[in-house]
Amino acid sequence: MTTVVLADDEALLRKALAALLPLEGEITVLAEAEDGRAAVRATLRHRPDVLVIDLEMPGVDGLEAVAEIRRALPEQVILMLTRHARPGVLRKALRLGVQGFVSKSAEPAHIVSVITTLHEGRRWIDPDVSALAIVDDCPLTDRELDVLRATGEGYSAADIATRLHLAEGTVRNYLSNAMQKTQTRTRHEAARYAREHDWL
Amino acid sequence: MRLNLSAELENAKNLSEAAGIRVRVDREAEVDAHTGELLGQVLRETTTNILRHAQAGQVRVTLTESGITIVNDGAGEGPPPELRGLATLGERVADGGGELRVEQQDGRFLTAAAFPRGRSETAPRSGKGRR
Repeated sequence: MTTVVLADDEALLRKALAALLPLEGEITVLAEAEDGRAAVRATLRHRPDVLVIDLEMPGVDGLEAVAEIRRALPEQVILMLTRHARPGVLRKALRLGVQGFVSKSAEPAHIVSVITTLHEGRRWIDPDVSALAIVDDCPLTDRELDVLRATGEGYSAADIATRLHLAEGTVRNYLSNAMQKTQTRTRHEAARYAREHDWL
Repeated sequence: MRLNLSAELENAKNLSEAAGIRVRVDREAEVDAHTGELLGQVLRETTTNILRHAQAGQVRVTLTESGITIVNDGAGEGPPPELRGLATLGERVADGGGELRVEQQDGRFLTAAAFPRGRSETAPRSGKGRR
C-alpha cells in the first residue's frame, strides 16, 4: 500500500487521478491540493509516501513547492507530472531531489507503476522527457552566456573583461569553453550559435 | 534547431550531475556531423537508461574519432534492464555502417557505438533521419 497526496490545479485531472489510482493499484489518496501552497500544507500535514505534483500551476508552481517541501522533509519522495516541460526544468527538478518525472499524457496504470517504483526507492523518468531535456537544454553557463552576449554586441575580449569586472584570461577561458560546447571556431560563430538557439 | 554532439554531451552531463551522478568526459577526437548525429542518439538513449534504471554513482563517457563508449557503475546484480530502445538504436547504428555493443558485467553497464574510420561517410543514409 502506498499513500499519496495529489497536487494539480486542473480539477478534472486531479479528481480523475484521485478516483482512478486506487482502482489501478494499491494506492490511497490522503489529500488533494489545488495549488502549490496547498500542496506544501497537505504534504507537511499528511506525510504521504509519495507526493504527486503538477509542474505547471499558477502562483507557487510545482518546482517552488517542491523546494519548500524538501527543506522541511528532505526525504520526501516526489513524482512530478508535466505537460510540456521547458528546457532546464528536468535538471532543476532532479537537483531538488525529485525522483520521478512522468508526462501527463501517460495512462493511469503507468502512473501507478511509477508511484510504486518510486516508493521502492528507485527513480523513474519517462524516456521522452529525458531525451527532450538533452536536445533542448542550454549547455552554457551564465558566465559563458554573458561573454557571448557582449561578443554579439561587438566588444573585444579586453572590453568584455572591463565591463564584467573579470580578468581578460578568464574571459578568454569562458569564450573557449563556449566555442568548444557549440563546436564553433570563433567567438563570433559561438555568439551566433547561441543567438540562433535563443539562449542569449 | 538541432544541437550538435558537443552541446548534447554537455547537457547529458549536466542532467546526470543534477541527479547526483558523477560524470567524466574524455574527448579524444571530434567526429563528423553525420556520425555525430548517430552518436547523439546513442548518448540520449543511454543517458535515459542511466537516469531511469540504474542507481549509478559514476558514468564515464569517452568520445573517439570512431565512436562513443559510455560506462556506468549502476548496473546491479539483477537481469539487464529492458533494452528495447537500445535494440532499435542498434539497427540505426548498423544502417549507418557501425556497430552497437551493450554489455553488463560486475555491476558495470557498457554501451559502445563504433564506426570504422571513413565508413560512415560512404554508408547510405537512412531516410528516417530527424527533421
